[in-house]
Parts: sequence; C-alpha cells; structure tokens
Amino acid sequence: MRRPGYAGKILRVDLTRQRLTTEPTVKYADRFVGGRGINAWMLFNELDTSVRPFDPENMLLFGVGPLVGTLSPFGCRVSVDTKNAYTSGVGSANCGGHFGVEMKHAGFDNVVFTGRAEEPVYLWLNEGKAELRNARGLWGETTWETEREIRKEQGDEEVRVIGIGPAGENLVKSACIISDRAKAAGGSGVGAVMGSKNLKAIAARGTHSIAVAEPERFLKAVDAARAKIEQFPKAEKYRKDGYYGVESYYGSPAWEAGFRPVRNGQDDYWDPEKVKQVSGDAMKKYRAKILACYGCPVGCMPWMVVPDGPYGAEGEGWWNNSSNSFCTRVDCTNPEAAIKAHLRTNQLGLDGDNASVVIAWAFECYEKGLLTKEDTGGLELVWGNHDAVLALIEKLAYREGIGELLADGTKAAAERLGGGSDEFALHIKGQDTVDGVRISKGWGFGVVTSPAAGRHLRGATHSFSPEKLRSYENVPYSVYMQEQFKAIVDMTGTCLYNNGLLSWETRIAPDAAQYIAELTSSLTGMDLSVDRFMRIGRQIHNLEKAFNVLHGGFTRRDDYPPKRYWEEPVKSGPYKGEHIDHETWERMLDEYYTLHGWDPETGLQKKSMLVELGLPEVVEKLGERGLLR
Amino acid sequence: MILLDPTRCQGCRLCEAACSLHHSGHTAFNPALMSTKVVRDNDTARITMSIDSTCDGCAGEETLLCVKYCAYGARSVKR
Repeated sequence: MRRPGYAGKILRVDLTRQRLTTEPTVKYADRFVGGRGINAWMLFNELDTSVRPFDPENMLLFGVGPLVGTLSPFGCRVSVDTKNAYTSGVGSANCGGHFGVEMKHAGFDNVVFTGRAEEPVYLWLNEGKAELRNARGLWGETTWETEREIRKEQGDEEVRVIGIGPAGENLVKSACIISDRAKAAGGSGVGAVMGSKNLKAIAARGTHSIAVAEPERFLKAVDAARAKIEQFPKAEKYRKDGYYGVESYYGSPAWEAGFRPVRNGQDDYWDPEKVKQVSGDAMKKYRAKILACYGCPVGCMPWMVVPDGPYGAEGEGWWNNSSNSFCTRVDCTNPEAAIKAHLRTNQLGLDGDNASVVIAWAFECYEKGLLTKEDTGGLELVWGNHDAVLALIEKLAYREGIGELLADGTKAAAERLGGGSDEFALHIKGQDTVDGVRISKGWGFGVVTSPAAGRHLRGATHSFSPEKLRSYENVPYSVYMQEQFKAIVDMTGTCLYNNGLLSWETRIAPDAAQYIAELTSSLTGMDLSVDRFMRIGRQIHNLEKAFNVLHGGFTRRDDYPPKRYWEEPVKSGPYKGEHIDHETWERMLDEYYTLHGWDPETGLQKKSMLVELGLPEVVEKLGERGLLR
Repeated sequence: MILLDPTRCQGCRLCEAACSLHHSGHTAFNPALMSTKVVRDNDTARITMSIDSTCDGCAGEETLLCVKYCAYGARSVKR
C-alpha cells in the first residue's frame, strides 16, 4: 500500500539504454524519510568511487519530501544530488517553486538518472507514467524558452518544467538547474552534470493523490505552524516588500556584517554611498509584485521590471545574494544592469553565486595585470564596469574566449593562469564560494565545513546581534545543530529561510523542528519525534561526510577558509581588522569533530559513532579503504 | 459567496490544497478534486484566480477553507 504523504514511487531512468523502472518509495522512507535524505543514501550506497562527475555512470537524483504538495507551509522544495562537478565530493542543490509539487502529483517522489542519452532528451512525467522525449529542438535554448516550448508541445500551460540552459549544455561548472524560470538549484555543478547526460529538462503534470494519515491532527499541526508564523511581527512587511532583495539581512546590516564580500573579497565593507544606489529602497521602484513558491504563506520573490533602455528586462528574481554577486563583489552600482545580470543568469542556467565568484576573480586578475585586454577579447575588467560583467556572463555560459578559462571555476582557472592568482581564488574544497566568512564566525565556520563545499545551506548559522556576530562562542555546537536541522528541512521538502519563522523568537533549530516533526508525523503516520528527526539528520550529514571522504579524499586539511580569508583581515568599516584567529579555528575544529564523534586529528569518522548511529554500510565502505578511525 | 482579488494573490496555491482536502473528505490532496484554481502567467506574472461550479461553499466545514488558508487577503466572504 502507498504510504500517506508520498506519491509512492521512485523512478529510475537509465538514459543510455532508455530504460525506465520504478520501485516503491517506502523501501527507503522509513530510514531516510524523503527528498535529500533518500537521495543522499542512494548516492552513497550505489555510486562507485571510480566514477567521475561527467561520466555517464554518475547519478543525478531529484527528490521531494512528504510535506511537498500539501497544506503544510513551504512544502515545495526539490533536492538535487549528484557527484559534485567541482570537488568530486558530494554535490547537492535545492530549489523551490512549483515543479516539485507537480512531480509528486505526476506520481513520483524521486527520479534517479544514470547514463547518457545519445541525443538530447527530456523526461515527461504524466499521471504515473514516464517517457523520454526528443529534445533536439530544445538544445541551445534558454531555460525560459525551454519551458515555453515544452508547454506548447504538451498543449498545457500548467506543465511544470525544471531544466538547464546553455551553461549546463556546455558543461560550465557554475551551471545550475532552473525551475519556473527563476528557482535555481545551484551549486555543485548540477546543471553541468545534467548537461553531460544530454538531459535538457524534466516536465511534469498530474493529479495523483497525496493521502493524509491523520487529518485532524495534521490540520491542527498546520494551524499551529501558521499561527506561529503570523505572530512574527514582520510577517506582513515581508509579504509586502519581499523577504529578500533588500539590503538588510534578518535586520542586521548585511553590508557591515560581511555577508557581501567586496571586490572579490578584498574587503567586506562597502562605501555607504554605493550601498544607497542598489539598496532595498533603490530596488523598490523596479519591483512590480511579490510572488510565492507553492505553499508559502510569506512569499519572498520579487517580479522585477526594467521597462526600457540597454538593460530592459522583466522576470522573477533578485534576492539577497544578487546584491553580493552583481554589486559588491564586482563593485557595481547600476541597479538596472544588476537586475539584468540576475535575470540573464536564470535564462542561461548559471548559478549567480558560483558564476560571480569566478567573474570577480577575473576582474582582480585584470587589476593585477595577469589578464589583459587581449585576453578578455577587448573587455575592460575594471571594478564597477557592469557592462563587462554582463559580457562575461555570456562568455562564461558559452565558453567563449575568456569564458573557456573561467568555465571550470577559480581553482582550475588559477592553476592554468598562474602568476599567484591562486592567492585570491575563493574556493573551498575546490568549489567557488560566494560567502563572506571573516566577520560572522558561525556563518563562516558552517560554510567552510559544509560537505557541499563552501556553501551556506548546511551548518551556516549566525547570531543576530552585531556584538555577537563575530563571537566564536558556541559556534561548533550551533553549526552541529543547524546541520541536523537543515537535513530535516531537506528530507521533508520545506524551505529553510521560512522555517526560520517557526523559531523567530529563539532562533533555536529544534524549536522549528517540532512543527515539522508534528506535520510530518500526522501526514505520514510515521512516528517522527524531534529527537528521531535530528538523529536521521545526523545520519544524512554523516552519509555526505563519508561520501566526501571516499570520493573527494577530504580530511581535516580541507576544512579551512580560502587563503585570502585565512590571512587577510577586513580592511575597513565598523569591523575593520576583523580576521579569523588561527588558534581558535583549530580549537573549533577539534570541538566540532568531537561533537560529531569524528577523529579530531584527521576529521575522519569513528567506527563506534557510525555503529551507534545505525550506519553499518558506512562502516563497511570506509573500513575497506582504511578511512575509519 | 467568495470574492477573489488576484492583485493581492502571490500564487502560493494553498487555497487549492485546502479545497482538494475538503472535496476528498479530508483524506488527500488531489488536484482533480479542486473547485478553485490559481494560475500564473510566467511571462507577465499575471495571476488568474477562479472558482468553478463544483464549489459547495465548504459544506460541512466550520469555515471556508480556501479563505482561511489564504495568507494574502486575496479571498474574502461576501455576506
């Protein structure tokens, strides 16, 4: 029997043999619930270490959790997992929107791709059936045009599409996967892995039922969560102005708090006169509407309109990190060019975070004379030149000219270019990192230790008062807890940002987890207490950690910030002189590994901990390779 | 009668989920059982809201579920 809360089936697609098979989701749901949980398990359990990211044998998994497509707040997220194109460790990305809901109503909780299609294809999921369709005509198209064309082909304007643009097709490592034209599953080169499989998109439509185990209890849980959100004093303001896309970050001045590295991280502080030009107030006039993902009672995504001129554009997008990627990082203050850059990356299927890091690196190479106008095809990569940013976005997506150098990320580009350009290549474990890590220590420590390599959607957390922001106190424990909580969010298919509203008073992860636990238990009939959920969260985190050890060869030496952030202090602003204290960092690593039950000396997992955690398969695989302590 | 205001709607579709839960007798979420629909045009962000003739005014419920679960004030009851 199909379990309540689930579509019931996992689809496996062998693209090489064009073979499609299914198995029941329940086979995995007891242990790893859904979404990223099931994806992480399958990836760890099934992928051989000899497989390289762009080999046909690499797996690409899409998964939604039980809360997706229900009345639960924020049940919309899709987890995309694979072998990371940058690092060969774990690759994991996540997006909201409406695709995940449709995939579930089409009858599938997870879709697992292996192999490589001979010619471009897209996967069509409809009413419990799945088929591969020819996508020759779509190859080369933007993500927006791909959605239009598939809807036209299916004769249905409500078909939901997730797919890649030219960047993914060209195996650019900063390529992401876009759904609903704006929702980016970014990082880990997931778009490039999809491109390597000749897989353009997945499209879904259906009326498959998602059953509720205990309706009265579930509705009570929904009402409790909604009431908590409504108590948040700024809920109405967020709905009206959008949660993101403004200069403040949960109320902290983000410009001063180091969340927006400036000029490729040369500083973490930006001139307030520049801030004004692209602040929330400045952006407001381009914001025509705020839109919500499926199931979200506090929609955050603005619809931006630049009516005319050289940067005329219209579309959904512009959020917090856009002002990092297309403003501070490259010292650009033209709001219209920045909006255009954001929308263009969505069309081309580029992750704004990763793409902007390698673009800013190129600007600094130009500043230092390591790249010349000859190398750039005539572009002047001087800070503040927004036209050059827009031009580089195109070159990057198509690997044209200088784009070929940038397409594999800063680590590879610096190795090719030399001249000391690795000194300011901002990558962690090999993947470019957009985050500032010097001022907020909780954020920095979480970003640096993330198994997804330099990304903030694992353990990154921070204090909300400016005084506590840079404190090291309690950081390892906070990150350890946040990692478990983030796994709960991803295995159920909910949104991390808005989950924050379920614990807006205390900002303590388990306070939000109790709502998710009650929603999931009453929906599915599974007995998921906060403690059990947090334990499964630790299991998932440990699966990813073990994957990184096995496939990426990562140990303690890989849990350090990029050289620039390790050695250079913040140069100006209220946090001038702020830096990462090396001794304290070492102590934090010791404490963090100890909390996890990992060996402090090497960072490797201990057998006793894995046995206690119920992961004998991890013990076996690590043991075989002598990677267990 | 339920009044719809697409200018306030942000397109979360919780109304659709609530509607299908009602029509399934509180057993499931199923788009085939919805009397109301929210559609967004991805070229313009224009949102269209509709209610069809299968709406029974949430017969048997304490309140109109689509109105209750709309967080944006896009649905209201005309008495």
